[in-house]
Amino acid sequence: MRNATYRRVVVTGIGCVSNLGCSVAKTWEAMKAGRSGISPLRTFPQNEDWTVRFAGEIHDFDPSHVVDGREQKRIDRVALFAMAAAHEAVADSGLDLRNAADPYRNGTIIGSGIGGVLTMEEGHTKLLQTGPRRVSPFVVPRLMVNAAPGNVSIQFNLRGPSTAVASACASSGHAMGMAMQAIQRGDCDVMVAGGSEAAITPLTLSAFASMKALSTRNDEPTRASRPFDKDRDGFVLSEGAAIVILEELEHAKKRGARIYAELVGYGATGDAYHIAAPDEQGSGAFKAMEFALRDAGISATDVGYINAHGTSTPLGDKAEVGAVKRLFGDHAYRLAMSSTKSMTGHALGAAGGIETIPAIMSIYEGVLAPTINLECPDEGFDLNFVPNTPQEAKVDVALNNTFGFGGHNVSLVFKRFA
Amino acid sequence: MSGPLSESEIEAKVIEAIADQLGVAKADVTRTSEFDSICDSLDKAELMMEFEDLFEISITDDAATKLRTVADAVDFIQRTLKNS
Repeated sequence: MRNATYRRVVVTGIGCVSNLGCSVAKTWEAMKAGRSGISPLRTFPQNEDWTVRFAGEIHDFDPSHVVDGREQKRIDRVALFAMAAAHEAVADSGLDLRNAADPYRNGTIIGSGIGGVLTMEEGHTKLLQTGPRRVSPFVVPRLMVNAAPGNVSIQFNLRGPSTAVASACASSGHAMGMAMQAIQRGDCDVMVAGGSEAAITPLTLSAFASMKALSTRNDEPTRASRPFDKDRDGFVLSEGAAIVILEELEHAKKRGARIYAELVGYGATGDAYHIAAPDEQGSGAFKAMEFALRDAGISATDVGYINAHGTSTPLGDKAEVGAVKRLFGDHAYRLAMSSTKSMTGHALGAAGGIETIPAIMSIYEGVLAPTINLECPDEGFDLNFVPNTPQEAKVDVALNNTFGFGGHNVSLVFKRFA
Repeated sequence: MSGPLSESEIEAKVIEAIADQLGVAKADVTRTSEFDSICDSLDKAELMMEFEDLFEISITDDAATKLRTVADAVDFIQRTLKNS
């Protein structure tokens, strides 16, 4: 149980860029409608050598409202996503961070699994084609994995802690958990936290395909991401960003802020098992959830909803379902657990950020986003996965799980604010 | 390129490249504009590459350091083209 003197942390703003829509409202409406954001690949040409020819690309992203054309050239898509999501989240919170009385009380932690890999690939191509003297001086500031928090700190004059987290698909989870702790400890009052990813590139897609990690259901892209279904065959690579505004409770109350939920627990573990495969027993996932609940001082039986990591890989889903069943026992059959990656695909380091939306909204709005494409649950997958259509429920406590290559596991606990 | 470029042709190309790179109007860039006040060091480094490509010349780091204004760049490019 965490020290009673810790300060409480609430969510007062959310922003999102996803293939379901470039705002929280559009993304959440699409999730409730069970819509898929997956489509045939458009951003680069592919011949028949490509075993995967679809992804969760964002087609309608326009950062002009956040940065002008000149600045856009200096910033990779991954940081532009983060800046757009941060813009929405800050506006949603009602905070005027740029004119903060003490900007050292405001900080940012933004995760990314891969960083500016598009810039890396383009820069490398240029190097090979034209030699070292033609490599753009913007390559490093664009590709560095901390470009997102760096740019967001400039965007909102955030002079407190500012850093990136890189833990593959758990990056957002770590970012939000560490941001929560920074406020609890008293280091700052407001943290702009979340994750961003823009890695649908030739190198990344081919590399994930070589790992046999991706679904190859090329003839049915919208049905390819099917967590918990017996016919699942891998994850669908996608992109996006999500940012939450975490704020110290009294700071939020003083200004009459709208509070979506309280962030009360953070549990993080490492599998120490294999660099890419999940521990089949889900031991690390089990412990991350256990530690998160302990951190929150909340009993497992109070949990109403889990937004699963649920990537639609054969082994990963099995490990997570097993861990939930062992940790929650009989209560596993009373709570609901869905995977919204069935709609968004897997946005790697941004996934946990995007998935805070259904986790928080389960509490704030009382609606559980579905797991679409769940036609025939795999053997032993007998929980309420909210199959195919949303459900109404009164949720007081929701978990958000994210697990990453490298064996990184994070679970966050959100609680109804009272 | 057919025939040597005149100074005014070089100047027009230089100003167009700067305006394009910095996302500003051509009218905002003049011969007296100083690189240090219209762009940062990264923009300037990228601009030098752009000039090298545009005029098929080489600009060493030492030479680039001495180019303070747009007029300096135009003069340098004209001299280099004449001597090539």
